[in-house]
Amino acid sequence: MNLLSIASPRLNSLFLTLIVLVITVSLLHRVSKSKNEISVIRLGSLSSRLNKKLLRLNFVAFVIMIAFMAMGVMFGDFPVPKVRALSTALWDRESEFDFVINSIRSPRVVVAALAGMCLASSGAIFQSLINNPLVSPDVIGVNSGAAVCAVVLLAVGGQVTYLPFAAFIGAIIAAVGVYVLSWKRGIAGTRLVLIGIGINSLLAAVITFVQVRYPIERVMAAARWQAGTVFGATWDDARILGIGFLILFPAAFVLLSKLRILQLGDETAAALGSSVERDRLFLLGTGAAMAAVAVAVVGPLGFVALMVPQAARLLTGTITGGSYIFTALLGGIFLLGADLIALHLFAPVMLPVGVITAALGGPYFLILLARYNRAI
Amino acid sequence: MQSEHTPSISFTGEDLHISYGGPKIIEGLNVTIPNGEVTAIIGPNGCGKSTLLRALARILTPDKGIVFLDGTDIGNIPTREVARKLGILTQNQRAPEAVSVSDLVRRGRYPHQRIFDQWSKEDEKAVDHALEITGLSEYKEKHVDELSGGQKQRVWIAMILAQDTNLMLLDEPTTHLDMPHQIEILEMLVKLSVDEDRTVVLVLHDINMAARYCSNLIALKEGKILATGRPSKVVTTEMVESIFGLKALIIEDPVTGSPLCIPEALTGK
Repeated sequence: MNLLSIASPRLNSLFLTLIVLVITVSLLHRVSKSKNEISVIRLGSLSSRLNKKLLRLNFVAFVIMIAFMAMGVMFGDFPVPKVRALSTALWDRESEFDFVINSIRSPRVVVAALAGMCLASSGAIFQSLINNPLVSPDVIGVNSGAAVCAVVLLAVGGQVTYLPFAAFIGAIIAAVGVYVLSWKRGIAGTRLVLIGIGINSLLAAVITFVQVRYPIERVMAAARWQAGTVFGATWDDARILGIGFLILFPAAFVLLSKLRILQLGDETAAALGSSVERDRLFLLGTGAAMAAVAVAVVGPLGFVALMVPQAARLLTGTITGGSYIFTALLGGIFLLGADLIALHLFAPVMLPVGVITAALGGPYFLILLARYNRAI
Repeated sequence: MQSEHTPSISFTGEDLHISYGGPKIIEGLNVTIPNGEVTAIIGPNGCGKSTLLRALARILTPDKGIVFLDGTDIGNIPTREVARKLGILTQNQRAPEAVSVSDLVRRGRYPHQRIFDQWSKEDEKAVDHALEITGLSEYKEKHVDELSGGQKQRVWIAMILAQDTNLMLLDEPTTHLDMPHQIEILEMLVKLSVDEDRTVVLVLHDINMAARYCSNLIALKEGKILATGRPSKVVTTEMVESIFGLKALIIEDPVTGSPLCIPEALTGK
């Protein structure tokens, strides 16, 4: 692929992207600036606080995410009338566009939305739990662990169908490894980040070794996956992600009250009656599994889990049930948006979505590092 | 809130031995915390004040010895149940990023909440009460990082107040505060003990503040109790010399009548 040939973005795509981006950001920003309005729900022995502002924000975010999914279904290389595209996706099974819409575009947007939600909620858990904006699954080695296992599998001639499973196992092993190495009478964010960065480079070396050691054609099969892409996503992928999300997201939601206590530091959490080590292990396990599921399907997509929770925190403040859901929705929006850009900005050349998230995330990560370098 | 407290508690430590894997910090210490009073643990730096407080609050497990809460070994009571009876504020608290005052204070209700019972009437009452006593009601929407040092300290105290425990342990709650803020916090704690019959245990390094505001003192030196009792009994010339190695004049505080320690010279010990 000649990079120069894709250097000029299509003006109308660029324009449309910019408009959509501005609308999204200003809409979310406006709603987030409204006042907190707390109402209380009490039913017998059940009770909860409800922040109407967060409710509104989540509603708006949900609508935007659905709109992005609709755009993903409507736009594409293959010319499909916009309205027909939607009707085909929603109810018209007899349509002549059935294959393009329901076998290519629909699974793709569903996978992008779910993967974005998984990655962002995973990042939110890690960052809040460790009280450090640099701690996210991609920084502490979950992605590299997945990548090593995937690359090794393909290099030794394994089946592509096993790739998600290998990636999942690799991600979990890396997470456990980093956790064990950083554990020293508790977990400190700084140590976790440093060891994660170390493990990351070690695993990158392993990948490079495998790449030079094994036949190029096998290794190349892993290269596209490695950039992180929702290209060629199938309903099977969507199913894996959907099941993972439906199990892990509510599990993490229930654990949020424990997370909010652990945020206060080990001693205060213990004083308030938290079983510190057990609760933290559950939370890290759930967070790592959520990232692992996403990475297993879409590849080691960087920076979503790092950036999105930060943006969500700017809009909603510290973590609560409502802001957690918002973080997930924002993750879905972000990945869907990045995928739309990846698809159309340089059309007809399609970029892996990971290139877009990395292009946005790389500079962001550097800014963050510079801002927080005193903490490291 | 006071009606919800059990009328009295018993809180003792027996034959406590504590080390951090190295030399003994506390050795064979027996202590009884008088019910409904404000007790201060005093002593020189490194004498084991904070260590003792943390062991009493089961944050630190002693090598040997038992802390009894209402007659039961505190290590055998589920930690959440302990947290409904005993609150401790340790030193050097750090608030999470972008947390509001009311959010932080609400977290003190954790031991009383269940998964689907996150905001009961009692929770709301306790949090409002805590914010009111600490004078933070008007700041409740503010971010904790925007507050001054004295206000921050009050937020943390409000958090353990919201925990609504009969026993409140605080490790140097007045350190880094100027004198008006020190007085403000100590008067608040005394008022809590008087009005709501709570038992308060403080670690303080200012012996005069301790003598002025606390009804019971525990003087610690090198992991052992040297003296315990009313301030007039503990803060004496001989005692100050043996605890701090300080030759001092003890006069009567003209305002409160409590003993006031005026340092003269180090005895070189």
